[in-house]
Amino acid sequence: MDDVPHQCDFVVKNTATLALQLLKRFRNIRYGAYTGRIPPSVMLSYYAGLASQPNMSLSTMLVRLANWIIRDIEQASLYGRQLHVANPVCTDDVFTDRWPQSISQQNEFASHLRVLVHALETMHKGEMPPNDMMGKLRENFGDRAVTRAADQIAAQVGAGIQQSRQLYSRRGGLVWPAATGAVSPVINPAVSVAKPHTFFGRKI
Amino acid sequence: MTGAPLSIDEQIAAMKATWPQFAARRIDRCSQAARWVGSVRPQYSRYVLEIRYQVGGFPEVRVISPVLIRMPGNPEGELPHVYPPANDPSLCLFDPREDEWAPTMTLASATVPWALDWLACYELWLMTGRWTGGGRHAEPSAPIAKETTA
Repeated sequence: MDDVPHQCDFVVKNTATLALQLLKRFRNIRYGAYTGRIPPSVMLSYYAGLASQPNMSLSTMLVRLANWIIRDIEQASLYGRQLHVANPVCTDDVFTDRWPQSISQQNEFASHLRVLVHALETMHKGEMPPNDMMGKLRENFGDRAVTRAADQIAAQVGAGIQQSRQLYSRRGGLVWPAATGAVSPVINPAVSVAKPHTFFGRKI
Repeated sequence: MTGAPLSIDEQIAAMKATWPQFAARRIDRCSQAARWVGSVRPQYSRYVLEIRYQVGGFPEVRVISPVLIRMPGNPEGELPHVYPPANDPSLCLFDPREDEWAPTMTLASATVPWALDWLACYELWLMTGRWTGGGRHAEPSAPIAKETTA
């Protein structure tokens, strides 16, 4: 009997898995009205494994994953070949045996991914207003999931602000609670917390 | 809160030490007033903030850029927790009747983090339609003590 392989770090697996889930959602939405074969989940999982890297935000991981697939498709198309992805431990097991069926099919997926990458990079640079960002995220990942995620973030950040425990970096960036175990305002002067206060004023 | 009000030079020093990206401008030591402009990015977008303060008054904070987005028909108003005028609103960061601000406090430790709280809530309000940071609005007809240096 073979030994159980050493498991990768939970954080690494978690972010890469979330990025994979988002990519699958994106694919399902883009190909929702499509009647032919679509990019297979097993192929996307293979690329998620390749792209996996620690200490990376979800959006950065998703961009990295999408770019990896784009590069491989571009390379294959450049030489007039269809994308070929096989199981790395069993090369007879070809993940791309049913998709793509043509070069134009793989180019179409790469084109969808480029649009996704552009949108994510625009958001990452802070060049998209938050309300437009929501529209773009809903368009790419689905209304219900995005709305639920935004509601959760709003509740979490709002509660932190109401209880005066929301932390900010010295550059004015919001510090997420997950990171606060390592950066308390007492031991790390690079973090600031607001004193208790009550938003007031008018509705205009 | 007791103690002597901090001078404008003390406020400038605290701002410089804590938020070096906020540059002090129009420093008037006679009237103990100053204006700071700086850029922050609490979550998704970058904002240029202006803080005006005169010792003994209330700090006044505005978003210089980008233009704040309105949401007509939202239960929180088109733009919540601000002071008029509508075409040049300032952020309402504390309730003046609750003594949350005192001139013995630094802008660096109170006003800037409060403004970051406001921006974080504003962005999430744009995304969800809900202001989750709490607070209360003054009655439309009631006069309110405006946070102003004037």
